[in-house]
Amino acid sequence: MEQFVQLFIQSFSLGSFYTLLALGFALVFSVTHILNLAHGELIILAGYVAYVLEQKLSMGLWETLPIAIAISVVSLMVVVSFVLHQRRLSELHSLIITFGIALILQNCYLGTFSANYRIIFHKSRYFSLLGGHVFISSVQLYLITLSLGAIGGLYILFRKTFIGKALRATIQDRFAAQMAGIPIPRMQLLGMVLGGIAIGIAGPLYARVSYLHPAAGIEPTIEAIILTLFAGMGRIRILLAGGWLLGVAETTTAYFLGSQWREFVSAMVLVVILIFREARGRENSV
Amino acid sequence: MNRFLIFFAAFLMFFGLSFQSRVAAGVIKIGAINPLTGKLAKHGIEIDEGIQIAIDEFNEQNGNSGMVVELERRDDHSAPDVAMNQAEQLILKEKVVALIGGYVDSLVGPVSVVAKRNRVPYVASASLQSRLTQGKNPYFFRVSCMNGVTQPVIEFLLKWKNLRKVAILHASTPGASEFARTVEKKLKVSGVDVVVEEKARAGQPDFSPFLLKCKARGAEFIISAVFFADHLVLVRQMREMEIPVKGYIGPWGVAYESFIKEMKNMAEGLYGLTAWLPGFAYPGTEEESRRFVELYKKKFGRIPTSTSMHGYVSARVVLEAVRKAFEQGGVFSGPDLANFIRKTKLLTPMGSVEFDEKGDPRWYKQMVVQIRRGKIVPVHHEHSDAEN
Repeated sequence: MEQFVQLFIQSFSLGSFYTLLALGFALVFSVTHILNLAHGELIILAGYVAYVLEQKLSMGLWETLPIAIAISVVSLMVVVSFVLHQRRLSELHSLIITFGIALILQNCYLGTFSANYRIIFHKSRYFSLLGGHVFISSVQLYLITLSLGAIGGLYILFRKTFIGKALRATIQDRFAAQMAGIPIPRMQLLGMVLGGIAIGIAGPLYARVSYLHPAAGIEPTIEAIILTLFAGMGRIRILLAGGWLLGVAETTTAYFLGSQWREFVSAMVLVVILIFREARGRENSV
Repeated sequence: MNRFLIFFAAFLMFFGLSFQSRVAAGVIKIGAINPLTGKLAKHGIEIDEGIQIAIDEFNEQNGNSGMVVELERRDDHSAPDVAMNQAEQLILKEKVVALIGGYVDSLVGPVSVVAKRNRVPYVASASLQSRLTQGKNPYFFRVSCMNGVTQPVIEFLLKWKNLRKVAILHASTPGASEFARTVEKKLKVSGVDVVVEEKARAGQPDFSPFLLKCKARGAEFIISAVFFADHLVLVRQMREMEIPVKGYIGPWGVAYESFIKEMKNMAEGLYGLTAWLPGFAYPGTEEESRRFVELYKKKFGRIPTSTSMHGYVSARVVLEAVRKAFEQGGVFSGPDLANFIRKTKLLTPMGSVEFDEKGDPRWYKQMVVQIRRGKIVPVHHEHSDAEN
């Protein structure tokens, strides 16, 4: 019994981790239609920032977050603005340009931080459950609460505020939104800021959960693309559900079938859901 | 048409003559292909740096004889197709007389095929998979082999008192999979039960299901044939989840100063494998080992690792063959150089280097080390049985 409760906790913390990795990508893609393949590299940048601050100034997670967020917002704005200012811009163009940016960033990291693998060493606090047989670590709690907080915050913004509703309208149909008088460039700017905040939160946690390496950005980018495809544009709550589903699928598969099956099963789950969604979408449109 | 033929002949003459004159003037080109960027860059760079030290040392010692070796370094981006292209380019365009380097079998294998096709010797720095030397490739040699890693692990584990249950996790690379299969088979024959055996993709962010299974099935020892980065995540989770195991051994990726630096006290007590340590060289090579460390520190500003030593030794094998070829008239044909390499008898800080008929090293054997108070300490090796 304890094993399964522990597995359940691991699943949800992993799912929350995936959600945090995907949030910035999903926001930028929804608002600007840019497929940012340098997304993972920006998460790694935020991770490196936190790593340096932790190493040089002994800063903890909460102290590094504002600095990592500020740097992420600025760097995301630079990347996205650069792509938006291209004369010929389609989703395919954005894919190629951001892929180039990702390669440039990887080489910059290699020159600056070397090819060494790095982690942020942290002493987790543990909270015991079920008479001490099950535990949840402080990092797992951060992952779950921060992902819930970010999704909850965005939900309130989208549903309860005027600017959030304008942003939602831009995501749903930017031409109709423009005709209704919503300033699209400002909405894009807002999308970039929110995306940058999400990346700034994900980076320092990434360095605590996984590891930093100049070429490590590809993993979070792939997770982000999968979850965004699964959730669809602007469907932030579905993103969290997708992250949790992926976390549960991967963890339980690895436990019952073995680690070698985890990617296969999670890919199958996503394919089935995408087919199901497509079929439902077709039914609704008829 | 005639004009084209004249141009073509001039082209061939120019490159033919330039190559001949380069060799005649004693400038010999050697190609090194390593993952200098991408996921395996850490170890690729270490090998590359070890190779550079060997070349510098060789040129310094043999400069007066008029023989100079030029190193053509290439990055395979941790990708097999790029490694193949780089090998073709080095052989056909740069006219290198031999190839060295390479980390992991998935990168070494394709280069060995290109080397065979072009009849150019290739001495791999870090390769394990047995299949690679079973294809009768007379141009392929390597300074490491599977036996040299599996044997010490099995010997070490069988000396543990009352060890009954182990868990094995391995990366999905050919070498790591073969390592796991061999160890599992030999442990089972010796009465040790392998309660969990799993393959994992490199770069996985969560190993908790594997660890929970280890706990549930009472694994006493974890054999983890994953790479450096995966050890970081796995060991951290193992410590955090307080998995009650007696020991953890990582055949590669653990016995590194940089691993200890990142993991701090979480690395305490872990076991790893290494072929060489800066303060622990093969008997009789202490001076060479010390010189290597000094040159490395001077050039790169840090202490070399066992991986760097693999690069250094593979380069020394090729350089020794080049020296012999130069002394015997300066014919640097692939078959001749391969013959010289086959007859190599070299004492290096990593041990004695000689090759068998397949191109595998005869005497390669790593030692088991443990991390104690932030230091890497040998606990099981050939030269003294300092069991702990």
